[in-house]
Amino acid sequence: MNRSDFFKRIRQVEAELAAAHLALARLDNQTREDITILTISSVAPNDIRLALGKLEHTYLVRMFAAFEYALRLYLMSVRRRAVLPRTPATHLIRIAAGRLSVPIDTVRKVDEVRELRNGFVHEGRLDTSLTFADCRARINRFLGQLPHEIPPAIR
Amino acid sequence: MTSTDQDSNSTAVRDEWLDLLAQLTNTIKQWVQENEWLVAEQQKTITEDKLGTYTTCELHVRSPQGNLIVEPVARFVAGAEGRVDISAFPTLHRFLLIRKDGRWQLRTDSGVPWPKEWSQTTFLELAKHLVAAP
Repeated sequence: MNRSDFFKRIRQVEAELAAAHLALARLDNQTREDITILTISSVAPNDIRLALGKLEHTYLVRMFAAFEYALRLYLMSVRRRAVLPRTPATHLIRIAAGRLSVPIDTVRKVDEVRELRNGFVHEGRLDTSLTFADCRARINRFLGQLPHEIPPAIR
Repeated sequence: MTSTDQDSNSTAVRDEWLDLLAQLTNTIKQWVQENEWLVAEQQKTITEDKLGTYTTCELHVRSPQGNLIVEPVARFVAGAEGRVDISAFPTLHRFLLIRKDGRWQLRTDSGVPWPKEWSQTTFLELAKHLVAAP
């Protein structure tokens, strides 16, 4: 696995967010003009607006999962383990940060992204203090500390 | 149009696109070298439905403030005749360089046209802002 693969995954999540946003925004527009396009589905106009309003947060969850996956693969590689015990994201971040000598400010900023993700996942909180692009930049700064090549863990 | 005609047309479009990319990367390399920044090329393989698979190169630029990647994306994109992304690394803050009306034009990541013409000055300014963005 290369570090660049992790960046590609994150970029792909962002591209899918843009596609979903475009599709939902168009559907929202169309239903405002012609509500009958929803008659054969169980989707209500309000569902579309809610989905649109939560879209960035929904995709943040996916992006953060890609980040966690990258940290897990890295830690499995350096510890030469085929599996990693279930570890909360906060610990993963700290352990990886220690190994990689990630600057404290970068760790703090990623922690704020984690808290934003948690607020949405566990409490449905739509904290808008950070945009998706802000979160992506913070996560990528952390991932930028990974080595270029991450050898596979021993299986 | 026969399939042979389509094939030769695709080849012509692909060759023209590859020429444009080569000119663009050479120009950018010249600009950054004049500014005494480091630049390296890396091969990139792109597959497009209409053009098949082809190989071009992306540029990795190292400025004093940070790193940039100039990455060809595709010849066939909506509303333009080609797209190249200019991204800060590792944040991936990005500008889009699109080919339209026979010239390169800049767009923000969300597609808003950038008011300045594509030039050495604009590129160097953007590079500085992109890598400095939090």
